[in-house]
Amino acid sequence: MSDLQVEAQSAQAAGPESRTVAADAWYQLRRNWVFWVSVVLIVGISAIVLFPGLFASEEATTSLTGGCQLEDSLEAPGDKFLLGADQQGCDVYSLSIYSARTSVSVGLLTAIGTTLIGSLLGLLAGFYGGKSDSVLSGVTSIFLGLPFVLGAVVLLSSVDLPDIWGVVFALTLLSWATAFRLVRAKTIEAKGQDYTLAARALGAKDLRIMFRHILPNAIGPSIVVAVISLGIFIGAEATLSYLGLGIQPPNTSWGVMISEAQNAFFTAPWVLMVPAGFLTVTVLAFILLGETVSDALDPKLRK
Amino acid sequence: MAAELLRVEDLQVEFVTRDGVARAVNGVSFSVAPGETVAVLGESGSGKSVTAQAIMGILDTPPARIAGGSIRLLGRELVGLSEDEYRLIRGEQIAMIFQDALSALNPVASVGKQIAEMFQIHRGASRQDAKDQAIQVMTQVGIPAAASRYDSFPHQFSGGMRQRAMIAMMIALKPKVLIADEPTTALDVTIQAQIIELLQELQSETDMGLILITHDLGVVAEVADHITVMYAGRTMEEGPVDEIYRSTANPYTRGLLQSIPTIHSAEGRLPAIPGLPPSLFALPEGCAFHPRCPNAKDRCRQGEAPELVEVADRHRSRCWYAEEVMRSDNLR
Amino acid sequence: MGRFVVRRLLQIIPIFFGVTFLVYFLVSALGSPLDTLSPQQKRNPAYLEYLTEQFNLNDPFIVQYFKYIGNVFTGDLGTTFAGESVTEIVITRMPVTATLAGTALVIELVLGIVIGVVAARRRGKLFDNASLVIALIFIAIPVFVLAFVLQWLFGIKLGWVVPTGISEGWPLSYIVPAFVLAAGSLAYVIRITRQSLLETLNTDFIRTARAKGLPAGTILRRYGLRNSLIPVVVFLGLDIGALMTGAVVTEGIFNVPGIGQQLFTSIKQQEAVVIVGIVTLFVIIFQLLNLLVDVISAALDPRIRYE
Repeated sequence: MSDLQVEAQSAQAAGPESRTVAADAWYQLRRNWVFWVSVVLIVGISAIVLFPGLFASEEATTSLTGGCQLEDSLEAPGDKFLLGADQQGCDVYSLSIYSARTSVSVGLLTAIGTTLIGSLLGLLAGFYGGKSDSVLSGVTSIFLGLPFVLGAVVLLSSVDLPDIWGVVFALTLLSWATAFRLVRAKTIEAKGQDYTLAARALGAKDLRIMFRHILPNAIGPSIVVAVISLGIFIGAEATLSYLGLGIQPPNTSWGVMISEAQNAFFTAPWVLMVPAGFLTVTVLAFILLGETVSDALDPKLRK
Repeated sequence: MAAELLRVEDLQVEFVTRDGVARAVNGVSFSVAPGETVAVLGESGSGKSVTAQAIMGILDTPPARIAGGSIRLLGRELVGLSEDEYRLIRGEQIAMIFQDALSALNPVASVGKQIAEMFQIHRGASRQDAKDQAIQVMTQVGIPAAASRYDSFPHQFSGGMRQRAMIAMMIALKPKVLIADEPTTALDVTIQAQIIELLQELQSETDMGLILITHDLGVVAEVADHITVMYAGRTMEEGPVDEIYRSTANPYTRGLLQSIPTIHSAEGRLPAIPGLPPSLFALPEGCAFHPRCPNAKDRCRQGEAPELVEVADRHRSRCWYAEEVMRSDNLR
Repeated sequence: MGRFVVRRLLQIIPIFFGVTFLVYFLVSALGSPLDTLSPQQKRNPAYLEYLTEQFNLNDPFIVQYFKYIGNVFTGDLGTTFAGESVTEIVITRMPVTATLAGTALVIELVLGIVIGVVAARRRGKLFDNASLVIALIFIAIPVFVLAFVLQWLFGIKLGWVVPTGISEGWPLSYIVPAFVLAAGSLAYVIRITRQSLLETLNTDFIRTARAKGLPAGTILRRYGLRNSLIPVVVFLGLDIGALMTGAVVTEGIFNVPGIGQQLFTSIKQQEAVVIVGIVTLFVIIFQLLNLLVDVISAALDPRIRYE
């Protein structure tokens, strides 16, 4: 930043309009339409995940109760099926709605898992330093040395794991390292700050320092990263399911739907494009939300 | 004294931002003659650096724009010059050294190359030729073993050496006017003195005009010939250094001078100017300094700001009560 | 510089052992490769014996690992059930994958940097916004979806290229799969170049360069780009893993006979031995490419070199 802007800003700060970081971030976000688009999308997706029955009927997704008829196989989008039918004659739109829950759950559980494990270990390693830090940091660089989807491919193809929890377990095990690095760095930074030193000088216990003084500083960036990675994990689940290693039928997710639709893609593209559309929009919504919040929190990027 | 090199007259610079228009520079005037040192004095936010960047033609436009006034270099008007024309003047006739040499030097290019570049680009020198000349300038500014340090990077230099390298780069083409924007603020006290001494030496060798932007009154007393005191984007007072120290004609300047510790004020509290400089977005009505001024009267609080008026030979002040302030008891 | 490379090489050694250990841990410490077999594979004693022997399943875990790593060091990545050497399969398929990956890299760097620079120069204008939106879509869309769409568009609808295989050679057969492979990273390169250039153009040394009277073009190239490309190179290092995953799917869908396609088929056929062998190879390549990226960033940034 040039002195010029610093001068202009300090002149501004001296005025009546000075704001806190959080208030300023919120001020930025409120005016950012991308933020609102992502919020609306995520509210919509959450509604679909929580109450799929509001958007579609479950009957249309199964042949057990006669909802899917083979005579409707690969029926094109039209009056009967808004977005077409798949090979089994099931309504692609309804299936996509009912698949949202698995896809989003896997992403959400993995994001929570990696954030909890990574943050906790990062906090301990950064706070206590020394041997435990060296060991944990070494282990981290090993996990970062294995591309996480490839690692998940190895694990899921060699070990028999229950499908939804297996995918969550595999992805969490192989990708907590990013959250670890972030929180560890933030912890080390906060540990050297005057307020932490002051708290220590006043005789605060380790736990209190960690949770009252250090964690609040690390929590913002970790949540932003968790939101972005939520989108990325939803995509990873789809890739694994597409390869046949993720969610197994009869359970269904967008990845499973895409995998099953691929052979019919050239004749009936809607069977693939509809779940792919849901998937892309969902991933995009989380990445956009994470990035707009992260930009708003970073004063360096202010215009 | 020879004819003037640079004359700045009633310069106005605005910043157009989301929160409104800020008048960062609002009527600054001064001139520089060959071999003369003009100190531009003021608190941070007073518009010193903006003035310097306006003279160099390196303001970021937008948000900044020159709203009025004139900048003449050797009689040539610089305001309104095209970027291509301005570029040829920069480095060649007028140059500027910055406060923090670490961030002001390109971190990924060697110090030597950054100096040699001046000869290559402005003078079309060959690579080898430029290198030889760069090493010569590095030696001139007192960088020891310059030839072997040619390939070093800025982060490998000490703070003082980096500032010397920056000076070498900017005096390489022997500019007529050198602007030094707080050149010693980021340095240790002993190094500060060396850098100031170096600038004086270079000045006496080449007879260049030096504009020294600073808030260090000690340095000003030592090296400046002429002072311009700025407040909230305006020149409050300007004149020869002795004249100003002897018979200040502006309460703001007096406040600044009273806030330096001297041998006589070793006991008791140093008087400081109460309050803070105003926001550039909301300048007070009347004289911008009135809310902090011990002498403020009704006339200062409303209407137009006072003009910059001559109070003695080459000594001007922007205060309704300049004469009165001058007559009242001065400090030293 | 030499010392820097040696130091980085030494750092790789423990990571190499760690990552291979992790791979093997995933294979056989959490369960057994025998558990995932299909019912008919389970009934085939020859197959059970083959797996037991390939993975040394009768030995304790740590012995299994050392046998595996010993084999890796002698260039033995395992044998398929049909008796083929995984190492040989990989060697014959390597050139195809290298061509594809090289083409993808050129696409993402050239297009990414050019678009990123133009977007930064026209900040807030139509080009900038359009490129950011397209970049976001490329980031969010899964590789296999983009692969199907482009395969259909260029291979079938427009008929410009043969949709699968590499019968037309380079570049015609490679360009669409390479673009699919590059798309996600291309989006990041655009965004990082743009962001980093904007930040660099705001620094003090750019102001100095202007005060020196350098022409705008020189400032952009020598000062702006030179400094902005460092984060792009660092990103490439982080992104190699994603490219490898992408290569598996892309080669699978476009039927490009490279290493990725082999892994793709092996996953579909649940050939654990081949999967482990190829992933091990990918891990080695990943480490070496990361070393290369570090060396390039050190060459670009003296501050890293002299750390």
